[in-house]
Amino acid sequence: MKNKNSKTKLEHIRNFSIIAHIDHGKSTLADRLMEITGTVAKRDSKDQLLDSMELERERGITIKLTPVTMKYTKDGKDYVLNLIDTPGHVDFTYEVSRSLAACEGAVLVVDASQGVEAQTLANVYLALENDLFILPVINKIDLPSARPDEVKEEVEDVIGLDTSYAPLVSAKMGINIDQILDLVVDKVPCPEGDKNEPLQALIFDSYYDNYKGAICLVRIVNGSVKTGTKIKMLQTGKVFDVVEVGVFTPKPTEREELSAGEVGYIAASIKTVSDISVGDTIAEVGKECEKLDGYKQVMPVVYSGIFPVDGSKYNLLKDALEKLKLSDASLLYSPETSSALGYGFRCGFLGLLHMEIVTERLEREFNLDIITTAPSVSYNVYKTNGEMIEVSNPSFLPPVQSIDRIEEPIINASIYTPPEYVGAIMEIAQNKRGEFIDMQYLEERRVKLSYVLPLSEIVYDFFDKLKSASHGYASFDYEMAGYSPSNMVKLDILLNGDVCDALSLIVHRDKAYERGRGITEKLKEVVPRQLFEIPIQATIGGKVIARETVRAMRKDVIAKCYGGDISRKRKLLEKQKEGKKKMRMLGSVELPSEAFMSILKLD
Amino acid sequence: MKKPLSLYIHLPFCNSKCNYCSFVSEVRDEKCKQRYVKALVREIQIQGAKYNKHFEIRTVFIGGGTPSSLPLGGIREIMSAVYKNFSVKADSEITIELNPNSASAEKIHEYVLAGVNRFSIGLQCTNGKVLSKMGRTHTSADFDKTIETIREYGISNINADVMLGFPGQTLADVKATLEHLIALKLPHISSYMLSVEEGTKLETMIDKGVLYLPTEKQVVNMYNTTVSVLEKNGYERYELSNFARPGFASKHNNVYWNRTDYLGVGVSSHSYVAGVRFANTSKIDDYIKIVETQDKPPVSHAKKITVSEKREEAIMLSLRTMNGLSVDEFQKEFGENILSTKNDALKKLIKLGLVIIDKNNNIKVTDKGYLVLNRIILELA
Repeated sequence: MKNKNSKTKLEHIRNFSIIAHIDHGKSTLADRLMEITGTVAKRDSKDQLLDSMELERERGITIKLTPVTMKYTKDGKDYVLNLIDTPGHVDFTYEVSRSLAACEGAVLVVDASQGVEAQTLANVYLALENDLFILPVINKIDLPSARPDEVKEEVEDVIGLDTSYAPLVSAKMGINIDQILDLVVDKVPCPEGDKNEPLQALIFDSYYDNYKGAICLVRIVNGSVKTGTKIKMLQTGKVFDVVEVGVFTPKPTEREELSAGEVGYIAASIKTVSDISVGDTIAEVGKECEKLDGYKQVMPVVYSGIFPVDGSKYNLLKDALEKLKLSDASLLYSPETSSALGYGFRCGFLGLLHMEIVTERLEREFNLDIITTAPSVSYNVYKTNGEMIEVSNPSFLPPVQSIDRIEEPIINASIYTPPEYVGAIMEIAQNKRGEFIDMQYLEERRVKLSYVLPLSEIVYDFFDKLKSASHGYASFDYEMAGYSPSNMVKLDILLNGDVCDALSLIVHRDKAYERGRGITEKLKEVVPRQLFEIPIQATIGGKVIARETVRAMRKDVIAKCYGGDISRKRKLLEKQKEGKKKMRMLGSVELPSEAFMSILKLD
Repeated sequence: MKKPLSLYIHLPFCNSKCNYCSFVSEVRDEKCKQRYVKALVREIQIQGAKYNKHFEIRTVFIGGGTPSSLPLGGIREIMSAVYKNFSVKADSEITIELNPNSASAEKIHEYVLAGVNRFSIGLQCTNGKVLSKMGRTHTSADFDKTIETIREYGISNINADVMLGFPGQTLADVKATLEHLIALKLPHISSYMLSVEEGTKLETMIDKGVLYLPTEKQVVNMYNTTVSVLEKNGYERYELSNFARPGFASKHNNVYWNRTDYLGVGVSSHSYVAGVRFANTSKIDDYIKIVETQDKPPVSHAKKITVSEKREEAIMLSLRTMNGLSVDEFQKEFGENILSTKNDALKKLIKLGLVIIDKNNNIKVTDKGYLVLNRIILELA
């Protein structure tokens, strides 16, 4: 069914985002806005409507930005409000900046008890960079610990926003939500654009639909687009025929056309994922427009190798990454070959959560069994010849003699914890080569510890340690803080004399012995006995720092073959073959895949 | 010309069950045994009608269980049925399994009259203490007496089964057992390792800590000692677990490893005829009932062996034998040059001293390799 009302004038459109620190109630607020505008009926509403990924709802986080078109009437005038939700986690800053580029305003949600947090600020800066109007909203006023007046003051002091008109709301309880909508209409500037100009649209996101192919999420800047329009992607130069346009209500709903100022989707039978580039500009063929400012490429922070457990699934993994990349422009990957794991990809992520999300999506949405190598960071390696190279894969670390120095990425970490765990957490931070900066009592029951920590220590097992030391109460936040010289070495693991590249690590010299011993001991447990003795060694620059031995298998049972019962022997062989299928060859050594993964996950 | 066929006859009865046994054998009353023999005779008739036209029997093996636990006259009845329904070549090897204490002189007399010309006796060990822990009720003296009786009929082709790795068994026990057999000039010895099978009494006893198995190292020593003692005394290991003086290798046994046709009759027996492997039901009562009521062999499953399975079996079975895997014959049969297709695995195994390739282009497993044969097969299959 086609709607006939898509010719809204620009003064009647408002495009806005909601920005917030993680867990300050952004998704719940979005749900309330949709309810109050009648976009969804309350009884149909699942919690967190915009978090459409199963994973998002499960974890209570927003990863993907999702646009939704709402209708709202104020003072007898009808408005179309386009809301683009944004992720709150630091790993997804890039996604935020993309959605902000499609808006004129942002609703800044601040938790009435927690106040301004790291990500509140980061998102505000992004919004300001995009010249957005920022509307502060104090949320969670229903909580007993709410201190709305103090938080309003904090927002004025720290961010410099006028909070005199900031609504005090509770998204959870539905208090004062209409005030937000009124303010959006009154304060957020309406989009400027001319419907009669040639088409000019910004692709701010994309996703893959099994029936319609790759779908572009767009903000129309000028002109209009409808079914049959011949469009051209200015960056890739590809040309397509539009088969459908529409908006999200929040389900994709077909419209006759999308015109200047509007936010919606374009489907054009785009089969190849790589034909869409987020940040690209769409023009109409023959009426080319100016290219809009795209996005700058973000740099990954954490790297890991991803390999299919079953080597023959390499192409499926490749397709899956391509599809993920379509909706997650920040995911970087390039082919990688490992002697131990075969063909796979080295992937770069914006952070650990991002890495976890990607691997989980690969497993769930694409049904792939994958092996991920230990996460690594990118080191700046200064060579004796004056050259500086970035190394994120231990295999590419140059030989010791040609390294002048190595600098590793460091972070400013904020750890929030109830006071009784302070000691335990400080001990962890010390063990992780942390440099203590500050300890602040935010409230009686909440302490903020500030540390400078090497990123490489965080990607290892910091979260788990933090959680177990604080019985799950501590939370953790970080921002990149540049590079610092460090005594890093490459730790190699040798199985039967061969370096197992997938197990190589770049570690701090002080940690090398402990790590090496941990890995060799664990390997001894999981490497099954084979036809020959297998030495397991951990080495630094050829020097053995830890060693274990798996003794050779001595015998099978020589059993009687009763009455020509060959099937018993066959069954044994079949069972062995099954087992062998699950084996990976690491050099000359066979290792069950699960065992291999347990080594990679070692703490 | 008729094709050669081997016949396996299964008798699933024992006077008592050894606590490590997981094969189809039970303690049953005389009435059940009679009904079973009747059903078996009927199966032989049915199968004779089917196979006699194209096959001639070259070897017969009467196994169990304990065939000698059948009452007097049972074996004669069964063998008469064989002779009536099949052509049995004149010099066929006809073997029966005995327990040292279940074959009276009369029974042995009956077997010889029924054409049996080779005896296989389950001695396992000469140490009575070890035997009784395993639920075996005979003694070493019973064994000697049985041998003496058999030899009175001029039969010298006798095998003894020896088991390695019983709880409480020592290397000295194994040596004593072998020396005893050598002194008796037995021409054939089969040597197996004890394996603890699921659901056996032995498994429970080990789990509960009532009995303890020897260590892997001890069992390896027992096996290596067996090989060296027997080879020193003129026995040749013609197959993984079988040792014989020249001319005494079991023809029936070789049928299995050479993949020639064999037909099994009786409960839980296995057959391999014309590229099809099939097996009878493994429950005694089902077996009797089906033959009695449906008048057909109670085949529970049959499978035509695919080429790839045949290839695997060729590797799996030939490597057990002294002659090994003939590269040329393998090439002829499967059109595959295994030296090239399994190049990496062979190189690795040769380097490890587990296999050799001899001057006739046969891949043979070494002494060291025999102990890990299953792994070698896996590498080459």
